[in-house]
Amino acid sequence: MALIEAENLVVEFPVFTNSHRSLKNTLLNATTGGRIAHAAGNKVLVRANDQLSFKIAEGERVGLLGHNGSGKTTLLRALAGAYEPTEGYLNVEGKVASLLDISLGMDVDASGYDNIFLRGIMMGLSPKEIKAKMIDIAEFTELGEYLDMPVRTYSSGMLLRLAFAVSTSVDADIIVMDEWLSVGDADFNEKAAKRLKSFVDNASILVIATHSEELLKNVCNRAFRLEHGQFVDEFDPRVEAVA
Amino acid sequence: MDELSIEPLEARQRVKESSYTLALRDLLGGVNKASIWNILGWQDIKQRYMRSVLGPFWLTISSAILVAALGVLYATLLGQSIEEFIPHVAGGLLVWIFLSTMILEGCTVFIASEGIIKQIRLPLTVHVCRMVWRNVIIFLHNAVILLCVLYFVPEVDIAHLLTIPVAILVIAFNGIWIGIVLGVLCTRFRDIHQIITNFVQILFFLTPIFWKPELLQDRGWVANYNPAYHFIELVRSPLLGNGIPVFSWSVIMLLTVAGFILAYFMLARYRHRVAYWL
Repeated sequence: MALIEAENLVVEFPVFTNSHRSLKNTLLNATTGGRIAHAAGNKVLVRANDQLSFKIAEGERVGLLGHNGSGKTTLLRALAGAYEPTEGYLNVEGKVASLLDISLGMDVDASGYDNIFLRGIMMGLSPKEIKAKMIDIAEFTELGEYLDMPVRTYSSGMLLRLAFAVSTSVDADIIVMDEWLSVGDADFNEKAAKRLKSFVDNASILVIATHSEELLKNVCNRAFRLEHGQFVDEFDPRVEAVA
Repeated sequence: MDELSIEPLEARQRVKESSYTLALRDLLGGVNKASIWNILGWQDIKQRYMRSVLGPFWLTISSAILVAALGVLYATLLGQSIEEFIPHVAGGLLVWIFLSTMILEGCTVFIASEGIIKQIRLPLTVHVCRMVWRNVIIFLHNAVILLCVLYFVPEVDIAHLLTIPVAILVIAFNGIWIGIVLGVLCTRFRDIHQIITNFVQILFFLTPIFWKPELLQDRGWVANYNPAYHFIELVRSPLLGNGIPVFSWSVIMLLTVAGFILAYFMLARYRHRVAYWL
């Protein structure tokens, strides 16, 4: 049973310049009123998601539209559990797989195999389960003997292949994704697309941020438009063209 | 379909779980995820010594050299017998390394796991436990030296020696709250790490590692008000056959309780902010 419910969801970022991270300025801030405090403590808060309320049920494929900086990725991060809402209510039921910045969190000094193993453990698989999937993942990446080498020797394309293969190897109820992932050169890309499609088909909810009308029409059955962190429109992309 | 389809508020009240419940779940859930921090901790060790022949036993060798060299040096400087001084230095130095590394690595515990924290949802305590576990593994490699220096101890009391594993467990346990408190603080204020580094350096000289507290005479409070001294005594006192240090145990027990209360409040208040501060 997969479900996402949100009510008045707010995600707010403190933006730190170097001076805000400094203890001295915070202390000055606390001990001095007035002028200095004003200069030192002018903390910038960015409200990336502003009072969002929605419900996404099983079987729904939701596309998020909006300009850069409209809060799409932040919302995805909140759904993935990386950012906890500052205010409001968010309930995510089901196992979430996040395909945002998939190459983040790789241990660059560890080998490819080690990284598959570590990532699997952190995603909640048992060592046994990972070992069972290991051959399949390794084969899929086509990295061969490179998998024994430290990840820092990989090209960015190879790194992405590895990250992609691992991230798509767990079963998930909910998938959050920033644009349809495309990995590797022409040949590999086709293979990856197939794997991604079956990964998505197996999940009961997909939330994807995108700029592509084509994708929206083909994949999604619901679309939200975000502007300045707020929903301004909802439509069915299969019926309605993107305004 | 133009209107916004915002679901109406449901009649039942949606109770947002209190931050204290979530903090408790983070703490217990994190400690409970042993399968994760165990593997990550070992991975860190493996990483550090990947291409060396002796692997983690380099830890033992470096510590042994340090204990031997500094033990002989300070025994001579302070005019004490080497046989008596080496076990004193070994016990003190190894516990100090264990404790101070946890303090220093506690400062960067979340910063170092930034990639994972932003990518995979795990209790923050898991990252702290990984750091503590890594240091326990290192300490256990060093513990070989403690066994060796028993050779110099005139009266070994086995019953007292058996309290040492408990002491190590208690020190490691304290590493968890230290890691949470310093980790949260240092993620928010990046200067605190530098302050702590300096503080730990000074503390090293103020702690009876290379000298004996008896030397202080009427200034014994320097040692008695120093928690690091009591942490060391938990291990060193039974090692040297001086019995179980009841006063040190009481101090550490109080510190453990106070520390965990502090860590719990820090988690409740700031746990959800850590990802934003990274």
